[in-house]
Amino acid sequence: MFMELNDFEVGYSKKVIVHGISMRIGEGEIVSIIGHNGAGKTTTLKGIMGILRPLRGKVVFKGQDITGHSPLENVKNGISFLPQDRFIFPELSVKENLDLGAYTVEDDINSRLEIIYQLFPILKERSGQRSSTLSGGERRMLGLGMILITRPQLLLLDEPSLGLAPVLVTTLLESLRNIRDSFGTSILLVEQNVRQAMEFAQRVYVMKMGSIILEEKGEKLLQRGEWWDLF
Amino acid sequence: MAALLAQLAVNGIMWGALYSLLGLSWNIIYSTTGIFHFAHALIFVAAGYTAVLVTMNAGLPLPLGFIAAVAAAVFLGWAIERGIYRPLRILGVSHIVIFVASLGTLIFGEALAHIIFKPFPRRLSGFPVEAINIGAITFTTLQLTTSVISFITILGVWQYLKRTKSGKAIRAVGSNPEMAEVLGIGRDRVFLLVFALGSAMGALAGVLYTLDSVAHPHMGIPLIFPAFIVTFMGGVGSIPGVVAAGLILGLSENLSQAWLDSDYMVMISFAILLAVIILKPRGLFGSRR
Amino acid sequence: MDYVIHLIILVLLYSVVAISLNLLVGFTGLLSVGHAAFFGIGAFASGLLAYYHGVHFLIGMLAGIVIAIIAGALVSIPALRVKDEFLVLLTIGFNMVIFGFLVTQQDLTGGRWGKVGIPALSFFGINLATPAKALPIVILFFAICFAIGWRLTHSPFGRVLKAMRDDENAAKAFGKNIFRFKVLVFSLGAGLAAIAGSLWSHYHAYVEPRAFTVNESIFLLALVVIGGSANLWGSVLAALVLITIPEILTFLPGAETGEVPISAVRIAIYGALLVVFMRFRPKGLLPEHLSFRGRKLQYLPITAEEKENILRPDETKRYSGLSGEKNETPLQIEGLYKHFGGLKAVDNVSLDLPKGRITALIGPNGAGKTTIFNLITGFLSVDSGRIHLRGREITNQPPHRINHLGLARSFQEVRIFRNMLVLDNVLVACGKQKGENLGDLFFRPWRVALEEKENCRLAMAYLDIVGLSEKAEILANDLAFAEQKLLMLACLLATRAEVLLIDEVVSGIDPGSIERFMSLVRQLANWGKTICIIEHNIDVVKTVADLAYFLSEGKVIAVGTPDELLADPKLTKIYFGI
Repeated sequence: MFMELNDFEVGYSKKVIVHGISMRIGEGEIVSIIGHNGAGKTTTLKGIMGILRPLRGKVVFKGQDITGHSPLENVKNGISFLPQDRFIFPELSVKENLDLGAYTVEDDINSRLEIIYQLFPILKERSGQRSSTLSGGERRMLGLGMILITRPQLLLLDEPSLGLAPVLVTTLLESLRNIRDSFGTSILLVEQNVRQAMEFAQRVYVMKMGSIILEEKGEKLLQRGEWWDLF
Repeated sequence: MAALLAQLAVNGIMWGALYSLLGLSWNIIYSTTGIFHFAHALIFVAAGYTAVLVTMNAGLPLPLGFIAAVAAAVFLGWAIERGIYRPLRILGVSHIVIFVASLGTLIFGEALAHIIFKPFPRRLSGFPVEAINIGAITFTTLQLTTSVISFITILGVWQYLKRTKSGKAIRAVGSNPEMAEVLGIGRDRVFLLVFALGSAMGALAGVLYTLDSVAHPHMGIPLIFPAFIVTFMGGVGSIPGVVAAGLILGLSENLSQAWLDSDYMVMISFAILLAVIILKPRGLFGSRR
Repeated sequence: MDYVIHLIILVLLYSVVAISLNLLVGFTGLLSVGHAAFFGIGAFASGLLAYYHGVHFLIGMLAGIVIAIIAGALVSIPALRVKDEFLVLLTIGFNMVIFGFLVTQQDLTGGRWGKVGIPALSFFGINLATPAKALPIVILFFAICFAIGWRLTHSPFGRVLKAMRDDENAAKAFGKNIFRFKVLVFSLGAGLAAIAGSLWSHYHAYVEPRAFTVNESIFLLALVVIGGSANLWGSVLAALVLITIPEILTFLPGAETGEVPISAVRIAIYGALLVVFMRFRPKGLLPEHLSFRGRKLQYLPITAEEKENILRPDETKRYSGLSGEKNETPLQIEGLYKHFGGLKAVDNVSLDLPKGRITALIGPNGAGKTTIFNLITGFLSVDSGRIHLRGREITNQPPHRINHLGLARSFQEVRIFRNMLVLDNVLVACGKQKGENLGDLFFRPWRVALEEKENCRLAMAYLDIVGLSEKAEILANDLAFAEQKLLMLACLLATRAEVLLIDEVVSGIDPGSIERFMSLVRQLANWGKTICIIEHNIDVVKTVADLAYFLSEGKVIAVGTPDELLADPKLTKIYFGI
């Protein structure tokens, strides 16, 4: 298994949010987490990334125990995280934002920048502009560019399609699929838009009140016919 | 009268340059870390005395005095961040507690300086001070040098923040600390960097000031107030703001002397700050926080 | 002996000033670093009036108090609009301006050197020029000021100050007019400091500006913080410690020869003390809740019938001035719009909340649900549209006024007053209280006591209903997460509001406790309250809601019973994309 969560518990000192869950992702696999607001989806991602210290349990990545590793260690190890919102540096230009994404990169970043620009041409167009002037969809692309520039092997995405028009969402998910196909990147994404999640992901975990209530293949979940009980 | 005003204006611009440097030295720390680093005033004291000790007591050339002052200031700044602010941050205490700790540090430090160095002012020489006359206006080589060094430093820091990797990391942490962390930009390391930068600039300003005046244990607070005023007037995190505010402060303090006693200067500078805070709470050039 | 009495007088005077600053810093959380200015205003006003016009010190003191109060009120107004660090600058700036004024107006104040020869305190013509003679008067005023401080802080008024300190927005939502309280506390703090100032100048027989600089303000802040924020006895203790102990240093060998600069050593010690305290005992010598131990809860147990009466909305008593007709839909919203930049957060939303029913707002993330709550309760301004509560328009009214009119809300995040007792949390929410009014507080204490007793009874009843009555006297911060949410519900009850807006009441609650919450909310509706909830947990919506509005992208897409909506394929498509 590429990445595995075992009996994983995350929360704050007062309040446990994610109660002992177990999850796995294979290499090059796309897995989605869905569930109602407050179910613990974002908290799970933050616990993996090391933004929140896990209270209990283990995270194993590429055979190594990375529980409680700092975000810096995780980035260097090949895991990247894109938060749900406020993920750009608004006063800085698009290029500067991307440079910051490459903070941990030792070698020449220009070739990497080119790849990002190929993926998202609009970023090249706007590279000198202040990032606060970008539209919602463009910001999302910038955010993705910032975390892709380190060539991560595992992407953790928190609601990447939030606030995007349907057309943009399709483009975004297509780009993600391209990235997986070209680089073999595994993707774990939290999604509100359940259909997208089910169509896009190979497997889906459903979280409710801090626990996983269902794990299912994407297409099978689509055929279910009744989803309200999952939320 | 016109000649007087012109002279005062030149004085004002030169003071303004120093104020801008003082302001930036504090602004960069506050805008990046959010800590109201009152104890920054100690940097000026440490710098002034170090330069005096190295140059006057040990008899070494003035440039060495500058270097020693900067080194001492950076060391002091780091010690305060690591020894006082960071442990408090880890405890998760409120802003008021950190603020009071900063005040306590300043008070302790100044009193310590008083005990060690005695309250007698110390002069710092080693700079060839000559008068320059342009028409009816007079200023000294020292004043000119101070202004030039101040502006060059500000320019240098501006470019550093804009172009270098660590400079951008500083701006990132000041702009969006959470995302900076997600990208692997270590907050503690950036804090240390910023304290070093701010303390170094403060040391520079402190030595320049001492050359023109004297070093004494209580020189810190009168120098930190302009730093605050310039920061909040110009806008937290804004370098153009720091320059503009510094010049405005310098000019208004000096020009007002055509009509008012010098005792009024402090009142005026704070009155201007109050006016700006009330009318444009984010400062003239807008602020990040 | 005279020397000891002199020290005692200094301690008493500084205690008064520290107490006056504690009101601002410790109780209300307003970081003022310029308080010495008010001390100075009192000293100079009183001293100069006596010097120039032979005015008796009591009149001079009164003048000082009035000027200080006006100054305090003036300073508080810009302070209303700025946050923490700006307040620091504002107050420092104010201190510097006052200091500058005192120094520059040489003719009046004697400039930097001040004025010597201020007449001593006098009492019925007897001059109280020695420490021993002045002591009784100083003790008297200390006692008066301490009593005033105590009364203010151990009262509903003080409760509001602490609530503002802990969570200003929650305090607003419970009907507290933040502006008014801030102006009052600044003025009161200034006035009390001026009293000490007046005594100071007459006792010392001189005044000088240098005694009222920012350095002095920092010392005052140190007294408050080391002594214990929000603890009046702490301020007295700190004054004792920080004034007398350094004096002892003057008796050390080496002090007299001047080898060791004593004044600097004292200051070094006090600076070090500040740092050490902040690092190891930030709550100060006497922490806030020391004085709460052993408070007896005076309440009589409540019968089930009384509980019913308490909980039924009391239309006539509370909402005088509004139409007393039984309104089918107490809250009506028409055509609400709200834009943020280019984003339409709320787009032509109209909804009615029926009385005695639970209405749910559901929909995907970002649909605008919490924004609607913010618009209704006045936390956000409406771009266009109208909101009517029982026929009366409440659009864009400030939050505290909307609360008074009978509408209360809870927040998505847990917003309680963490540093206050559970019981005090509920008491804060109990609506407008006489004890928040200075006139009643000081001149009609019996009214205040009566109302307080009744409110305590009610508060315990509310806590009993949510099941927290055993925890009434513990700190709200020490409650478990689910209990904190229950406390929020109890506070909502305490507002006795007819319309309750509850934002995500069960989010983060373990499945076991959800039943309890849902039945509580159901009970509230049965008692006639009009309830609107925002909820993402579909189970809860199905069980508890009578009516639901489905929102998406700021618009109302559908209205109906939860079962109707959940069966609607159009909505399923929007929520799930299928």
